[in-house]
Amino acid sequence: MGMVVMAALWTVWTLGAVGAAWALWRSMTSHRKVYMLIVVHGLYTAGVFVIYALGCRAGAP
Amino acid sequence: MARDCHVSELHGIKTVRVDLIVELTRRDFRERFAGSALGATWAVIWPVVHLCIYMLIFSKLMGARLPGRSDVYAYGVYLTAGLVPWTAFSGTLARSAGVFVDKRHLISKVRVSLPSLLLYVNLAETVTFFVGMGLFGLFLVLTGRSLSFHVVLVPYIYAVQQVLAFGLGLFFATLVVFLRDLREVVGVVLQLWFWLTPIVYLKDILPLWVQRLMVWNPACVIVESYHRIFVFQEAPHLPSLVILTLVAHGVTLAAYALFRALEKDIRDFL
Repeated sequence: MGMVVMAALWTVWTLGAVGAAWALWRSMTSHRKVYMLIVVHGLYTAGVFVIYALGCRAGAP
Repeated sequence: MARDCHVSELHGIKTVRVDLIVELTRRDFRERFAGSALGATWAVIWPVVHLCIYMLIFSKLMGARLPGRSDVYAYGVYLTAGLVPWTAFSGTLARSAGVFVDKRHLISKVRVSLPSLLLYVNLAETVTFFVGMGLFGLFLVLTGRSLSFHVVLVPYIYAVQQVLAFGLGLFFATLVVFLRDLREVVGVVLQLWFWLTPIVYLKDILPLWVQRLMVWNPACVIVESYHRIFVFQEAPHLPSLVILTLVAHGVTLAAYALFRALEKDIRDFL
């Protein structure tokens, strides 16, 4: 059960991050994209650790 | 207006040359093993040699043991799990610090985003890291040790450590252009940092007050995460990793802001 929750959250989170990065990428000027890339990457990675912790709490792995 | 646009492009990603980064990475490996008959095969031979040293010399011949473990190779596994990531982190940071000075001939000829030059160092160290970790994983499987599920976190932990190395590398690369001695200082600091991180020893042998200070050492969080996954088969301390992720990206943002403020002077100095 925990594994399913973790995999589902990870998939949704990854797709959301890619979508948000794509939308922001199209709307920003050149050097702002670098800042955006760093912020999105940071929030995405931190989110993966949070999802993993939630999955572990739910009984995975 | 036209000039502003030009400077903006230099700051940004329009001048990130992926082909150049890949070519620099290839050349880095070629130059490292230039003139040798086996060429890039040495990139695999060296990690094998290191693995043999850690497992056979330290564990078998010197008899180094991990407290509370009867396993003969436990210390070798502990050593490898800490040293491979540390080598990638310190190698990236040390080489990044001098990248603008080392590549000044290229910077003056090719219109390229300067921070992107650090990516080739990162890419080269990443190849070395994954070769080392791949061989390490193979050793664990061949000697009958099971890899825990937490191994799925390794790419994320590696990403965080390399973002931190990139951020610190960009910070020092910017300053080294104006103050060349800083490059040597980075080398000295990395030596001290290595011994202040529980890579070759266990954190438990340190006095309590030093152990408490270790939470402020980002390398300790990184190395401990690998130790927990590969040696103790348990999940890394996730709250520490979340904080470290935010710190690493904060450092990179600050380093990029510093670089942007000084980019014109850097190009003039070089």
